[in-house]
Amino acid sequence: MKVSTRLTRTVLTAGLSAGMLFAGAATITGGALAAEYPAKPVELIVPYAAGGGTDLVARAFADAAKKQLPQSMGVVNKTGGGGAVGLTEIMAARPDGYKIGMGTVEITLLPHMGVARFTVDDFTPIARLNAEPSAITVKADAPWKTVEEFLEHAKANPGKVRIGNSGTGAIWHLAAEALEEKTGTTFNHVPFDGANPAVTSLLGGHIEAVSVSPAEVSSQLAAGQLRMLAVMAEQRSKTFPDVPTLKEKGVDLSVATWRGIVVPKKTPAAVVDTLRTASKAAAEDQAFRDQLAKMNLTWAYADGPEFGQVMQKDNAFFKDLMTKLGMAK
Amino acid sequence: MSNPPAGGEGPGFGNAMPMTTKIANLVIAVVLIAIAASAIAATGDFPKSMLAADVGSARFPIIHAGALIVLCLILIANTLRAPTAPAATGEAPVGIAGYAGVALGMLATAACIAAMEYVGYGIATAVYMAVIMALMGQRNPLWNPVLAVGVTALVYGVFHYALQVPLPVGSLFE
Amino acid sequence: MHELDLLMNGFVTLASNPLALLLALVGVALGIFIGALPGLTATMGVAILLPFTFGMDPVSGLLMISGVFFGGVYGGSVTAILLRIPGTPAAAATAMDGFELTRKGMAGVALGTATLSSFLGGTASIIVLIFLAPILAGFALKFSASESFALAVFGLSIIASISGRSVIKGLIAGFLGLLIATVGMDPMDGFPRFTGGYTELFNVPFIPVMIGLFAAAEAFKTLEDPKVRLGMAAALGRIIPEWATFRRLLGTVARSTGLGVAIGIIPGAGADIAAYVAYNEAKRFSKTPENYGKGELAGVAACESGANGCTGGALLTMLTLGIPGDAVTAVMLGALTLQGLQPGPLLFKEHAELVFTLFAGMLFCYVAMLVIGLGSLRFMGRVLQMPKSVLTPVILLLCIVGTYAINNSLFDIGIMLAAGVAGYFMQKWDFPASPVVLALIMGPMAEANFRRALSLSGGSYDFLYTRPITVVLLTIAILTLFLPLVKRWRSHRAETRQTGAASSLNQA
Repeated sequence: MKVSTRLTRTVLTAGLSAGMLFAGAATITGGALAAEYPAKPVELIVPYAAGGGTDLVARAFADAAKKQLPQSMGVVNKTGGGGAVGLTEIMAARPDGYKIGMGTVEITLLPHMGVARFTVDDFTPIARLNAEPSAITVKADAPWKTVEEFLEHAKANPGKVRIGNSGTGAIWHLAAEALEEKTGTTFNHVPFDGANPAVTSLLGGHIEAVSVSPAEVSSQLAAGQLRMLAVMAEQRSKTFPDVPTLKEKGVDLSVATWRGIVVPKKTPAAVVDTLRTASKAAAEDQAFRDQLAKMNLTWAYADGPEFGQVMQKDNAFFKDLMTKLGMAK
Repeated sequence: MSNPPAGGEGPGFGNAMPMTTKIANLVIAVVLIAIAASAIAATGDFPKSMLAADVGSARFPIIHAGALIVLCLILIANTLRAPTAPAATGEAPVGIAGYAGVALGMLATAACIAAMEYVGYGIATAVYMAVIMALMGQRNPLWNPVLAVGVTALVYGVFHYALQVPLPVGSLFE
Repeated sequence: MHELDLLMNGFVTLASNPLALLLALVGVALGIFIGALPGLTATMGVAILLPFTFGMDPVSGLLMISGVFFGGVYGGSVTAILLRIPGTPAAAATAMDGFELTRKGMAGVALGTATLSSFLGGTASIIVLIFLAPILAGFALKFSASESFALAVFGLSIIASISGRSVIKGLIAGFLGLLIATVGMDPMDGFPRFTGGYTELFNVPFIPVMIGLFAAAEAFKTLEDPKVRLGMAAALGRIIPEWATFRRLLGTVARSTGLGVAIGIIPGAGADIAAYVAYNEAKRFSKTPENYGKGELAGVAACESGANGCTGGALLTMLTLGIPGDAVTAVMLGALTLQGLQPGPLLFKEHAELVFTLFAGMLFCYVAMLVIGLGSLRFMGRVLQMPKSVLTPVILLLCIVGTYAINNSLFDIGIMLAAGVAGYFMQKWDFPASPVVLALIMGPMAEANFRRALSLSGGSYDFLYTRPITVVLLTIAILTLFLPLVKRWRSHRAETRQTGAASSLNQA
């Protein structure tokens, strides 16, 4: 008994010395005073779970940003509340540029639903990295070959066409609602727990269509199991050049999700400029672009001011739409 | 889960239970009924569903809470009907000191969480470890602090460096 | 057989790639470690590793990730058995009988059985994946909302059989869990229920509650008795079970693996559900169901082979349909696309060679898991020889840090503590903790899918009796819930006739 107690203690002491080294190193880096930004590692808050699309973009970006900044960038996932928890954390962070965030289109959605303490004006945009349009996708053996036929069928059978989305109040739900509003159709909106289950349900023939992004259905499209009828974007997708935009078909609607770097509003201009320059270089790094392409994600870099305009435009659009739908509070 | 009270399984004592168990059952049942009832009351404010064919967000909580109330009432009825058994003899009673230890442990945990927000992971955890070890009888003036600091540092190393989980720094040092 | 040839080729390719084998080994070891820590799950491990695999060749990268996945599912059982800390939700089922075995001084055999069962379940599921993937792929698509709802109801009906001595108390715990599960964002409307304005409560804090109810409650209990504070925790005993003992478990392992594979294929159902269902069926077919919950080796074997059987099933849907069944396979899907491989029906045609090399590697991963597991158990068992005065604080610390790691949230630690305090009193007064965990897993699944099914059918309740899979599952659920009650009632009548005393049915 005594021997084993002593043994445990020896093991613990060995661990202790190793641990002390770790802790010591941490205090030195943490304690160094900031003469010039960034003087210590930058935390990149991701409001969604590790391994998801937003997380993958963030990790690829952090990797690319390492080459542009004298300090490393670490990804921290703060999940919950459909993004509200993480976005609130970014908004409330000390505005010194050491806690920056991965902003998503939810910045312009959640405030209107009354579930967030922030608004779009609480963030300073640094750079948009990626954007994905909504797309109408049906089963390959569905009777509708074009988006016109699909919309006609929906008009003739109001409430009968079941369209799957990634959750009530999420971007793809609003995309379908906006389509409904623009075309005078009525769908049966079925919320799923994310885009993947919705696609599964479509494959099984339990719903008629989904409104998720092209990237989320690309493997089933490639296999010929699904057919994409139209994308809700200004231009055709580079990956699927044969799929028309809704605009070409006479429906003036483009809805997209986006992901980009944001910081709290009061961040000093010098820090914002440093981040903008670094983000531009990181986003234009070929390795970063390649990685997005491999994940079927669309590279869509936009500098701070331009990104800010997109945010403001979306904010106004969704506020208007959600008020009409009675979702706004 | 825990050891059965003496005689609990014997055929003759079938449903007899000691007085303490009876009181505990009744208190727990009443508390749960109160929780369930207030949950049902809270569902009154829930908005109607936006979806045409949906039962709304209040339906399931009401069903669950209703079932909970019914089950608690059954528990109360069973408890009142059951004869009182002599106090359990199989298990040594825990005693005031034991409960005090548990309560102190819980309070220390709460204090540790509260402190972590301000002074960060390192200080809060090292002190917490020392306190719990002291509670458990590890009061050696040399080993207690050494182990506390050592384990804290080891866990920090594993989580922060190997698993890339940043631990709280504390708002005072941020 | 065509598949067999491809597999053999896969083994040959793999043998010429020692780096891939080494990385698979590292992945398995890391997975076991991550799985064993509370709060850290295989999903997180896979996500952390993902950036490191960018630069590797596809086989190495994907095998390393598979290793973490397999190891993570198994690793949860180690701490569940030794310390009643379920590293993963599936391990909460293992803890029911596993920790009782440790109390009896049979920790070693419990760990050995868990390791062997995990290995057998996992390997069998990979073999199913290799030979039956195209045939079984369609099964996943048959599962719509109504089927998932029925599966969740079936899962909930298991509460009756894991209730311990008092069914009433088990049901109370279960319904309390169901009520707790409704806290947070409503699955259909997105309306926040019972959150009191805290955004942290928008998602049901499931893992903190689980860690609190099991691990923290147990740790608080050890603070109770001053006499054991300095004592040693428990003995380890022999590790590899005797052949005579394990032979009797083989039937259970086979059945549980089958259930695990089937549940793994179903989208949205994972190792946690498989472990509980396998446990329930093992008890149903057992000659000595009364031993379950008191340290029955077959209970451990069932949970572990069921949970690991899931891995093959989950991979099957991901690879053949491009649909991830759970969070881990969702990350793996990302990893595959990053390597330029598009999962889906075409994968097996266009990249057959690579796919079968991966399969060969996965079988290797499971062998590696068996070797690493059995080899390290003696070392991990040392933990039991630590004095309790050091072990208990360490457990509490791991609960705190592990809970924090899930969402990097101090709020979650508070929930964990509250659950720990509640769990301590529940244990004291004989309310079982497992039904709460089960309800937290199944409750949201049942509600979301019931309402989704209703939405899909346009408001008609027909789906409850017109869809064959739904009907079968609901019928089994009703039988599972009521047969034990009927049995107790009948034995109670017989007993009453003999002794004239009231029976255990009434025992609260």
